[in-house]
Amino acid sequence: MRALSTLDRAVTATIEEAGRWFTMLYKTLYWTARGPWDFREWFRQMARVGVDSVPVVFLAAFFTGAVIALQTYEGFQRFHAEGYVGSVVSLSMLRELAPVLSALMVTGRVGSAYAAEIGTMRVTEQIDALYALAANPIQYLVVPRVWASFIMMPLLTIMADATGILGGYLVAVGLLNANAVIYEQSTFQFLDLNDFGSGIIKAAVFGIILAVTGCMKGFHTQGGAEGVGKATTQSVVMASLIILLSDFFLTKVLFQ
Amino acid sequence: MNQAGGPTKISIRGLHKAFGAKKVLQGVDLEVPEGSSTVIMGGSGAGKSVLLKHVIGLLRPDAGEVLVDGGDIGHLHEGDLNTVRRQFGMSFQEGALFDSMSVFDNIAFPLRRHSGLDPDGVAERVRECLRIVNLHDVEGKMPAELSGGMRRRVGFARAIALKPRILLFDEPTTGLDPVMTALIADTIRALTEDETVTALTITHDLQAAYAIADRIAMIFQGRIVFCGPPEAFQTNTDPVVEQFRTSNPIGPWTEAEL
Repeated sequence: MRALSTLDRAVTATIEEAGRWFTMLYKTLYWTARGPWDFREWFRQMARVGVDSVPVVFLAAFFTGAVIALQTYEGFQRFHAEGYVGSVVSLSMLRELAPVLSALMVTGRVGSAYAAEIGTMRVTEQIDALYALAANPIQYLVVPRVWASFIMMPLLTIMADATGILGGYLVAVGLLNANAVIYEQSTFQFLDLNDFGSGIIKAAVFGIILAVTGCMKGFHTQGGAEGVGKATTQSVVMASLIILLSDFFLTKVLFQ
Repeated sequence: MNQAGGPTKISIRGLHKAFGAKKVLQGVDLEVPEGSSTVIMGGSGAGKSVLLKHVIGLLRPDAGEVLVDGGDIGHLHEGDLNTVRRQFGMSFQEGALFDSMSVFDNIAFPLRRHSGLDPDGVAERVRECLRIVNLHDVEGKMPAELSGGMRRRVGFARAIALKPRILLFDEPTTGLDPVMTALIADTIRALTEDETVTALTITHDLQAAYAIADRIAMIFQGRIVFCGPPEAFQTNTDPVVEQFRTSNPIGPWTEAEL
């Protein structure tokens, strides 16, 4: 009986959380449609998500590309396939690693900040104050953050694509003495537009996921400074999990 | 028509609100006449703030209704509420200033959104509001640089910036020194001199209540147990009112805590 009631509580909590998540997504769309749009704020948030995330995304993508080259070069050499290392790096970066790693980095940097900011505003009654001043907080706080993330994530991913390939190239050609011409050829040999496009679509979806999760967690924060800390941590865990899960299904759909 | 003479501006009927198992409001009935200055008194956790938040639609009733100008606030759509709220001004317990904005921008926030004033007009009104709460040279400061009392006064200034018809003040004088308390009380009185301005103030400070109110309502165990002019409040013999008024440690307030 006890196990059953524990399960009941967990399932109920999960469904309620999912409800809050989709409500936040829906309200964002509603208040976007309703306008007016404060593009100044959109740009401010875009700079935060995009420009300020360039260094971390750059480093993450660069070393990921580099380590794939390092690992596969070693392994592929065993069956004389080192000529395909470039393809492995470019395919895995474009299709999978650039969007997912960028999204996880931005979740840690920006999604968590959204939760902390909005959570602090919640516990200090600033959210109530916005309502009281006839400024809807979803419209004022959430709409610019979600769309900024939606717009900037694909751009960050394009940069991550390039830096990952660059990292792989430098390791293979510079460190492991691979033939530069063969490596270049193999990098682009098997790529088609869908590889690039699917990564971009994923990135845009992840952008929405991390922003909605951060804002939702912040919005429903309870209980002072401790609550803000909890909301922040939970937003990162939750967004990362949703990103990884949806990644699987997106891949399945996009390459059907 | 009622005691203060004006028509009813806010009417609360049978208002119930619970948070989980905790029943905070259990059938609140309160009529607030237009142009009156009503003070809601009660101990900590008596549900004063919860009541105030229902008036402006920040909380939705579990049961009962909140009528403003005869229209039910409790069931309005969020978008329409936004419109209705433009006639409200509310100050919060800790000020609730936007900490990403300077003092100036905080007070200018509602003016820029809803007043239609040009930047010069906004700046002028901001300075006027700061003068009213007796703050000088703080326009450029961030909320974090202010003391708690100053934050409260900036929050008060922000609440009155749009010259709203309905003013809600949640503990406007708590944590202020006696002089500033008197200043805020006088300001609330002065604002409600205008017959179209209605104020609803929460406090548990008796002195402030006498200075602000032309009607005092006392909330106890989720219901209004007394509502009338300050003179009647001072002579009322209801044990709940009497214990509160005489600061007696023994009585229904303390028994209820047990």
